Amino acid sequence: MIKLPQSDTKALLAIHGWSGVLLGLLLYVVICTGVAAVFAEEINDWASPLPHANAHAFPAGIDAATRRLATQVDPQFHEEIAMFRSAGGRLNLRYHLHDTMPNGKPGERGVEFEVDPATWQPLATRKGWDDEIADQTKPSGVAAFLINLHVRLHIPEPWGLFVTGVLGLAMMIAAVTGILVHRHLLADLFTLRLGRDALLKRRDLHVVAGSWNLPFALILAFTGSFFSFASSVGLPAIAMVTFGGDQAALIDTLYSTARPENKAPAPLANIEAMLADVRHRNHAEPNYISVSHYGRADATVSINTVLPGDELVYSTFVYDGTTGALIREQPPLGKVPSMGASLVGIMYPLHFGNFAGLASKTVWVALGTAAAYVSLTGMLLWTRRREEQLAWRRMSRVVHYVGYGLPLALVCAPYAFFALRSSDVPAITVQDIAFLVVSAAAAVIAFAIQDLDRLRRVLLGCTGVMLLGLPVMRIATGGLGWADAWSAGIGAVPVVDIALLAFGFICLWTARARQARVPAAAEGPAAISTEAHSA
Amino acid sequence: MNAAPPHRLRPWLRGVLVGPVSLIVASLVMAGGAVWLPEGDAKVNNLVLPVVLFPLLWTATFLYTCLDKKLARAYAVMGALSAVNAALIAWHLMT
Repeated sequence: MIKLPQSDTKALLAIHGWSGVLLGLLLYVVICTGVAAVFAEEINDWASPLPHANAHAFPAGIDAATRRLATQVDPQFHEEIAMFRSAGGRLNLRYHLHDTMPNGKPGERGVEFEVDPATWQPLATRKGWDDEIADQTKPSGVAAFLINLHVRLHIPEPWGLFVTGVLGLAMMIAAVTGILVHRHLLADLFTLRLGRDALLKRRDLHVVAGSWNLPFALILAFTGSFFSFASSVGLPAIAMVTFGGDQAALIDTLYSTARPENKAPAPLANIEAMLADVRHRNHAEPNYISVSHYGRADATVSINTVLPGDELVYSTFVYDGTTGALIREQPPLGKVPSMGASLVGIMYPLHFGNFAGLASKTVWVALGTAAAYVSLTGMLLWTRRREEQLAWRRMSRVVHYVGYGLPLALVCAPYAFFALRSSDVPAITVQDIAFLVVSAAAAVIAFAIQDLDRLRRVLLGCTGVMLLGLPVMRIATGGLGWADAWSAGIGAVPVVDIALLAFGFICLWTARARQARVPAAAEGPAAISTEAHSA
Repeated sequence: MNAAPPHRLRPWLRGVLVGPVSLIVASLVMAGGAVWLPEGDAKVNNLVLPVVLFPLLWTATFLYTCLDKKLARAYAVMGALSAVNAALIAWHLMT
């Protein structure tokens, strides 16, 4: 029990509620899309599988393919080669140089090959600046749409990151004040009265879910704010103070693997030997390769792996590109271990939940779903308490619209992806349009249906139907069938389909039940038992 | 003579303090951290730690400016933090 003066508790309770209500709707969007984005890799494997599974990101043949493709690009793009796994086990090799974009900001420009590592045949070739290459990238479109919405709410740079950073801060303030105003934190963890009193049941569910979720909410809010603010506010400010505003110099100091310049021609050492060395040293599968100064005597090869079972902070293995000898195992930032590098390194697994493979990601999704539930029920309880006032009644309608309309719009977006996959329009753009059209339709429904419980049931029912139809749409537009996927060892296809069907049935089942109506006057205080409430 | 601001101005002054002022002060402390934090062996701690701690800094300045009942004192604390860090940054840029 935390003892605070009553006036402080009242102030904290007001901050808790208002930080949630003012930014809660946008925060709900960020949380929902973040929950889905945890499984970005699996979603992409489901949406755009190859006809066969590829067990390793970089199988035998990667060395020859790198050299062969290097002959097909302008030598200026040999400055750096980035290689990484993408949707369905495809392998992307991006030959690029660091340049100044037309808007004056630093960027990367080059050619990206998308290949099938089973045959080493190019599936697609893309050219241009990073953004232009991303626009041309179709296979990973479904997850890219979700991630873009999660990271920047589709608001142009740098404002999108700033807005999501502020939302993370609001979540952190709501969590901190939530802890401080708890009168009986331990009791609240276990108090769940599921009797006939609908009000008590709703409040208890919100408080129990919120109480258990507090540590996770703090972690997500802190790490999310860090990721949003680091590039939009932090790095520019630090670069201004320490490097006269030169962000490229700051990034070079933090991440550089470069060696003393030597432009003499020299062949690259065997990449596959370096990959084998990394597998032996780190007991983990490589997932990213970067070759700097390909074909030169000062070439370096940097290799990252998935997190080994006993590590929470990733390392980069840096090799001499001409001899293939290991130069050093490098922390996430700088060249030797430091507290700053460890803190930044641990942000990744804590935010993405990928430190123990599928198991930890599943836990993160469950906790994220609980966070979305707490956010939505908090707003519903807050607005319901005040619904005798017209403004709050309208707000309650908006909360219902966003709370139940957002999942519907998110589920409908991939329909546009599947339907227009072969068109020239960027995958994110077609999903943006579908998302906005469905959001507008849901707004019309929210305006037309007066009874809020009926509105909830209609939107949930529509979401259920669209979830059930998504696997059908995927297969109807040329997607891999279950039997073919299963025999090829591509588990993501049937597993995601089954998950969609299960969630669809859950939505329809939930939409069947009419919620017990609780008179506003009887609702009393919403979220948590506090000194202020009891006063 | 009463130096407190008129009653109707207080919510506005509090709002400015909690909103833009707390953000500016947190940003200045973060930027100043690049000057006064130790570099460490890797020479990155002073560049990285302020950025990592920025969400906590902002949360702290936000909650403090919300909860301090004495508005003048809250402005004074925020002003002092800003002045110290701005001076450190200016000194660093000039030397």
